[in-house]
Amino acid sequence: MMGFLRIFLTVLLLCGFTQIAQAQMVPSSGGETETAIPDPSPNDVKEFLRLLGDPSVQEWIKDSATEDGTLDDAPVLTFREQVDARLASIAARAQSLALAWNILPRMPMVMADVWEAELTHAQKVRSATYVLTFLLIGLGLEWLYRQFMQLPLLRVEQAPKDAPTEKLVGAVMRAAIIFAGLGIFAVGSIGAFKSFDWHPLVEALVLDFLVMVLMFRIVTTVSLFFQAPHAPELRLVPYGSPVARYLHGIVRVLALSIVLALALSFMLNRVAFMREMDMGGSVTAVALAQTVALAFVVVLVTWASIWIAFRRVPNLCEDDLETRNLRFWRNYLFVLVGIVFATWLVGLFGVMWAILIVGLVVPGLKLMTAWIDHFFDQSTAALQDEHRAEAQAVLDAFNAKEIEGDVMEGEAAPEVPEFADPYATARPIVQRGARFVLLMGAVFLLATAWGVNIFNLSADRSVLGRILEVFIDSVVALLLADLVWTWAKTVIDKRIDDYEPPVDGQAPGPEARMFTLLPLLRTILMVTLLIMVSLSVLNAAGVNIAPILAGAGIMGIAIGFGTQSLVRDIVAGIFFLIDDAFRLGEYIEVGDLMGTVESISVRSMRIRHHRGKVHTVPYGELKSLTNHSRDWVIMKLEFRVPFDTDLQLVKKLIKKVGAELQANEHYGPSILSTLKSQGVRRMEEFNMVVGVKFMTKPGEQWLVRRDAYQKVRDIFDANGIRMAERNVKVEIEGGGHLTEEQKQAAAGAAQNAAQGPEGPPKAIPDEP
Amino acid sequence: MSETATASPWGAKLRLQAMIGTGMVMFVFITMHLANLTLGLVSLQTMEDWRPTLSGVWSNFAVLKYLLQGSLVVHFLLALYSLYHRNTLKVPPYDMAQMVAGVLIIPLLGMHVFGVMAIRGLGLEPTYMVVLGQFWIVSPLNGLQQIVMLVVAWIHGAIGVYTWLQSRDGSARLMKFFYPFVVALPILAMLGYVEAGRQIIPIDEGGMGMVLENDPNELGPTVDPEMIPVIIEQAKQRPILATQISLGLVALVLAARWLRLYMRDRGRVRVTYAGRRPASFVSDTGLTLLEMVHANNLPHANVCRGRGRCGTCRVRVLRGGENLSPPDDIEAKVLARWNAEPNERLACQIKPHEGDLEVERVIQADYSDLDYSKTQKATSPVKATS
Ligand code: FES
Repeated sequence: MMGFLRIFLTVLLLCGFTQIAQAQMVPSSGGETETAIPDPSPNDVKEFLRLLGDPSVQEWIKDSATEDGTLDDAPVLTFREQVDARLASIAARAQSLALAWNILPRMPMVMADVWEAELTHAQKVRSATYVLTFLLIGLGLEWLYRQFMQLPLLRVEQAPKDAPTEKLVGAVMRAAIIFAGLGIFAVGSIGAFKSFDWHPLVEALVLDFLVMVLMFRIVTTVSLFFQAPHAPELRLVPYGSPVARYLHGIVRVLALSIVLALALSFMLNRVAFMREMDMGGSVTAVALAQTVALAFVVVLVTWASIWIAFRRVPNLCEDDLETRNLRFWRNYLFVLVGIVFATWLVGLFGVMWAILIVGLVVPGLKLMTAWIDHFFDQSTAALQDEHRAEAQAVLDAFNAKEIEGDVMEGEAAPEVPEFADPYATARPIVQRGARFVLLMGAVFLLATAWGVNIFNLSADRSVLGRILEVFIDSVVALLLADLVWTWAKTVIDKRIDDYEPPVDGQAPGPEARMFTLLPLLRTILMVTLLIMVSLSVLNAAGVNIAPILAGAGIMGIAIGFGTQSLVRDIVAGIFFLIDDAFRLGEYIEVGDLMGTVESISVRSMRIRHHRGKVHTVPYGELKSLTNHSRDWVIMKLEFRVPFDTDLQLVKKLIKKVGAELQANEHYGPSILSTLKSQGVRRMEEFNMVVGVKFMTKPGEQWLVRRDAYQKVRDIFDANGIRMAERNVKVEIEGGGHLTEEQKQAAAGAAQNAAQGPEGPPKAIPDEP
Repeated sequence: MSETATASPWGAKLRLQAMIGTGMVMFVFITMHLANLTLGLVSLQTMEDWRPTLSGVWSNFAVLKYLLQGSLVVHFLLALYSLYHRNTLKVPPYDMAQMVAGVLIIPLLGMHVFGVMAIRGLGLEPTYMVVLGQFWIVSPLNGLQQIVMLVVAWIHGAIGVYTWLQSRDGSARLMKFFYPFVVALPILAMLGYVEAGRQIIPIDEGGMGMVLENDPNELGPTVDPEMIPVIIEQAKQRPILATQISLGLVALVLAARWLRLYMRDRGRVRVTYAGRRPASFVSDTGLTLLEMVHANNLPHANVCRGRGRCGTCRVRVLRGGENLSPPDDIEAKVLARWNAEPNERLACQIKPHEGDLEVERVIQADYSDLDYSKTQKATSPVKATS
């Protein structure tokens, strides 16, 4: 399928060009009206201009104009009348064609007559000399330019290119260089020629030829841009050098024949119409005859090119193409060219354009899709290769290290990230965008061909204008909505796909909140787009949408009142999420509720207390919210030691514990700043309070604290530092005579007195 | 060429020198002639005033006249000789253009040269009034032919000079002047020709109908009136004869060349290019490596386009070097100038024999690593080749 499309791409381009070329012959041949009405004579024109200058006439024109400044329309024709007019014009066309057909055998003679009478032999040959001279001048200047651009061009052509984007850049650069050369050629040939004055007919003829040469070169350069027959690195189309060279050749032949036909047609018509001034009569028919003949030759060449291309190219392709498909498209193009030619012949130019444009847009869309796909496939493949090479390099480096024995025991092989296609979102968007541009271009062309100004359709009251207006408005709305929807959907879906739920025990990343919001957004967007498109289509079709809008508005208000708190919850929720106030799995505190966020819904969230209670909190209720799981947590601990403790030693020991904690393989990495002593925080009656602190990632502090307490106690113990205990020394003056029991009783009483009635201090809130 | 070069290096050198020398003589002539045409942009009168100085010298001084004629003949014969020894006609575009232009020059030029001679024979002065009148008014087809001729001759000469210049290392600065010159002169000459033509074309045909002041030909032909038709007939016949002779010679040489190629024994050689942009192909033997590469549409550096002068086509022979004949004088000198390693050879000089050959480019096809500072500056390449 791909292969077939490849061939098609070029053939189609060719046809397009032919058709346009044919169509361009139309004006010069004298269309439907021209055959009937000869051009006004110079005297008539003068008279007309004089009348326009006449104040009384101006006054009359002003009077007969309507308020909006336009003249009153001619009475609108009924459908029947229109058909009649159309048939009449076809008949007239047929008549002039018949006349042309009669003249055809005598054409060379008649033309020779006209030709002879208008230009002397010397003038003709001189014209040829001028054409040659100025072409050579242009070419010489271009060659000079090329000489200076040679090296850059060579670099562009030869530099290895892996990614298609590089290819595209290279191709564009090369095209820019070549087009600049063409510009120089144009200035050198046409510009130099224009700077002399010439006999008017000679000037017109020479200019026609120079312009045609330029046209030909532009077409071949465009073909060169896509096919790059001699620089495979720059080729944008997906086929090999032989095919490219072959198709480039065909493009050149086609372009040459078309350009020659155009130039000849212009030239002959120019001579013919110049003669008409003094001869009158059959010259129009002569011109028509030769235009038809030339157009027919062009059609023949096009047919031949299609035929040859479809025969030859499959042999040159590496991969097999489907014969049936191939045959279908060949016949399709054949018939298309034929029909277009026939409609042109009959004089139905509007129909011709419609057939041509629609006929080309259908395969054009397919080709474009295939081409864009190919482009992205290549890009992805190139990136994948690169990625694979990088991964291999990493693994190789690791293996080498392992062999040398540099690898630490138990160190796992480095993980290689999986390949992710960066173009996955871009592809559908580009596809839709390109489709949009192509279709819009087609509509625009069609409108131009029909002589309808699409920016001013509302002024057009004809049926066709109305239909076209509705059609264009709806298509534009649909396409635009489709474009926006595709873009939003791919972006949203990609983000949802990319979301990885956090592993148990780990804090979730910021993506978690988008994961909540995105589906909601997608639905909202879809509904909005649907409503907008249907409203605008209805509007275009002439339905008055004001009542619908009003109705919807009243409904909206009613529903709004009814669901006030629901709406408040949803809106508040969106803003909380946008603010990134909390994420799934975070430990938060709302008012007097606290716990881990377990689920987030559109209206409310669910918090689980660490003892298992589940709270459901609607967002509308949230005033403020405290999040315990953000970035870092500082934890401060205190130890009481006796006054005679060696503080230096304590500092050293704490430092040691800190290092140990840091080295722990489980929670070590989560410690942001390890345990360190803050010195004596305060003095109490019987002891000093030594403060220590550490900083960890949220959620890890409890574990660290547990270990820190234990380690500090052990190490103090081992180094003979006692923790201060609350002891009451009871001194009884002269109490040497007291018995052991008495002493005990006294101590107990004293202790009670010292502790006071409060009882033991309140515990610090427990860890979750 | 290299085959014969191996046979008689001395003859090859002489031939090359003669080719360049004679070519230069003609190039100077054409340059002066075109400079004269350029003056037409000022006016026909200026053009005519300068004619004796710029164009006349070549016909008024016997030495220059014979030098020019001799150069033409020698150059033509030498060209035929080298055509005979060409192994392939699939040559780079520049060489092709030069060759085709060379073949076309004599047929195109004949009319002009013999026409001017006939004017002299009639006892007239070949003023621009007369000559341009012939080209623009009497026989415009001839005028068209002149434009073609001018371009063809100029292309041929310019390519020759260009190639000669380019094989000299220090020519980069020279090239900066050569390129604009080589384009500007013919363009100005063509414009001068067109403008002068416009000046003399009669007014009713859209020209200005100008005439010279004190035209030396006011009196008309001075020879015996009976001779006039004879002279004119001669002027018509001679160019045809010259065309026939020159084209006949070319055809003959081509036929002989074909015979020579047909008779030589042919084998097949597989050439493999290693390194960046690897490639591999099978080719007939008897061609130089560079010609094989061109025949297979592969890129290859070749500044002098296979003349064995520039040394940019060097390749490193990796395998199959035993079969190659050792470098001849020309090649050895170029290699020495580049301080080439022993296994480096010039692709345009070696002719691979049957079997396998594996090589690697020394200079990349896009000249990205071309560095003239690696040559021995002391020896100029012209000395090396001549
Ligand atoms: S191409 Fe210049 S030396 Fe071979």
